[in-house]
Amino acid sequence: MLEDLWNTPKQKKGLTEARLYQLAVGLAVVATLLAITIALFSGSKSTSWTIWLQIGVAGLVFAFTIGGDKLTKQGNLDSRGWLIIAGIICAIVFISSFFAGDYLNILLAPILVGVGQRRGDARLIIYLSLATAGFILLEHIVFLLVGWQIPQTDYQGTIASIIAMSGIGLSLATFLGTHSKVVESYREEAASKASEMEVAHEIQTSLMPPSEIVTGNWSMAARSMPARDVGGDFYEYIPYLDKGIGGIAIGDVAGKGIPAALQMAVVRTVFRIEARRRIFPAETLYSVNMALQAERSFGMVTMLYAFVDPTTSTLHVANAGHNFPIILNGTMDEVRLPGLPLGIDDSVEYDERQVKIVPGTSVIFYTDGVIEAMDSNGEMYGYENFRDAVLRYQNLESRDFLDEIFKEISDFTQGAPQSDDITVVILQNAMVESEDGKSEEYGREVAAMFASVNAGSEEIAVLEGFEEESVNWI
Amino acid sequence: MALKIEQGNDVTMIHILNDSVDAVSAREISAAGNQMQNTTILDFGSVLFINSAGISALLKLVIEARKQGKKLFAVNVTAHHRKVFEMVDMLRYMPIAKPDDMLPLMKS
Repeated sequence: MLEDLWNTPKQKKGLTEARLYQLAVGLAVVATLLAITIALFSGSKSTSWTIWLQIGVAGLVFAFTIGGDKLTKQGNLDSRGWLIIAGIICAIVFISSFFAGDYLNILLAPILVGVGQRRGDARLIIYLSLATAGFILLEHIVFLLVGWQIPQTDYQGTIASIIAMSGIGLSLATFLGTHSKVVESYREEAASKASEMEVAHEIQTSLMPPSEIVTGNWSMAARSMPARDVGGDFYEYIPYLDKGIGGIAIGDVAGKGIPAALQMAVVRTVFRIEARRRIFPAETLYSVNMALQAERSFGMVTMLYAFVDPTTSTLHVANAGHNFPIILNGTMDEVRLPGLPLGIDDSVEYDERQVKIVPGTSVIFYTDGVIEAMDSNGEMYGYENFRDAVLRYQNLESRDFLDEIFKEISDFTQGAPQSDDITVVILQNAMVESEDGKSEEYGREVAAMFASVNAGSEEIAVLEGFEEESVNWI
Repeated sequence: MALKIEQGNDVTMIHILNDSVDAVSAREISAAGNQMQNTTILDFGSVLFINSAGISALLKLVIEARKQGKKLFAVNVTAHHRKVFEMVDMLRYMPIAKPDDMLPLMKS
């Protein structure tokens, strides 16, 4: 029994509740042993049978409080059985109080706590305790009125106090024991969820394309920072023949956290399939939208897809409700191309615009989390601040450019909780010439690809090296 | 969310009294769809924030209304939301109008 006492609750080293539990149980046991010792060595003159009655009743209550819990956990005692035994013990305590004194009713406390805990209602413990206190007071008054005489010993007061302390101690121990288990289970659950979210974050991060790509004069740098462990923002990079930057997409699934991340995985997969079957962004977005319309309860997704034609330094852009990309070349322009987000309507067709990206130009793609980043006062970062930032850093290389933009946002928010996922992708056409000639070779291949499609030789252009069979669904 | 709905002669004015429009409040606006007359004006004068779920619900509402032949206008839209409405092509279905231009419709 003592072993059970010290081991319950288990594995709570360092937990305040567990230490209090052990202290309280120790107090109850020591006090009871002390009461027995006093009774045994107090001498025949002053020892009364009422002392033994008190010790016996206290022992019964303690044994039931501890043993009843253990039997319940083992499945040997159901709730109804526990309540019946508890009722019998309460009656014994009540009857004993007629002979040992009304203070003995304090032994009802551990049982009342047990009742409240089994019902899962802390308020019940308070109500029962108040009812018991009232009952003891009433009993005391009745004793006074009827002149009930309780056999007294020299040590009656001391023993009564010790047993009362033991009762309170055990009551406290029972409560803390259960409370510590609840706290620990919450902590274990939280730790488990945190671990799962960490894994989810790693999986999502591993699914993202490279954060930096350099091909000849063209370079791309990207960073996505979810508001939670996982998010609904994404960027995608469609290579061409593994030799260079082909398509760049950026998207934002409505919502945050796990639901958005799951939808994002679906959108990315559909996009990868469609983008590798078609060249032109408008057709691709149309196909992705049609595929998403078939999904039930799919939310809104904003997405922008741009395909680079390096032979003519042209960006083919289509937009499904995403933030307009910014073109930087000494001056700043936006590709103001509206479009309905994906997942809203199945009758939408997307416009496509061609934008010249001369050497020395940077293109900034971003999600609304950038604009709607907030400081602790609820003030929004906004378009103006973002425009100032991109103008200020436009001459930096893409990676440094990205670092400075994220630093600006961080400086603005001053550690305020991130309200939305933030993603920025920077595409640059540098003014330096490629030394290895790969850019020229890539350019020739892309030129041939665009020429074949423009000539109408294929209804749907399949990019070489990206046959549908090679795509893995997730 | 509190909506204040005024009915004029073949014109409905819906004032959105909350400072934010999310999925829940956008559904309440959608529920007011059956009170929309041929011309409906949505007043965003009190709205400071519209999240993506709110945009989604608003888009579905205005597209459906336009398919039913109704004309929708938005008034008192902040510069930030004007930009957002432009990006998501909301303006194609619900142009932004000046409140002064809309008042005569309500009085007629």
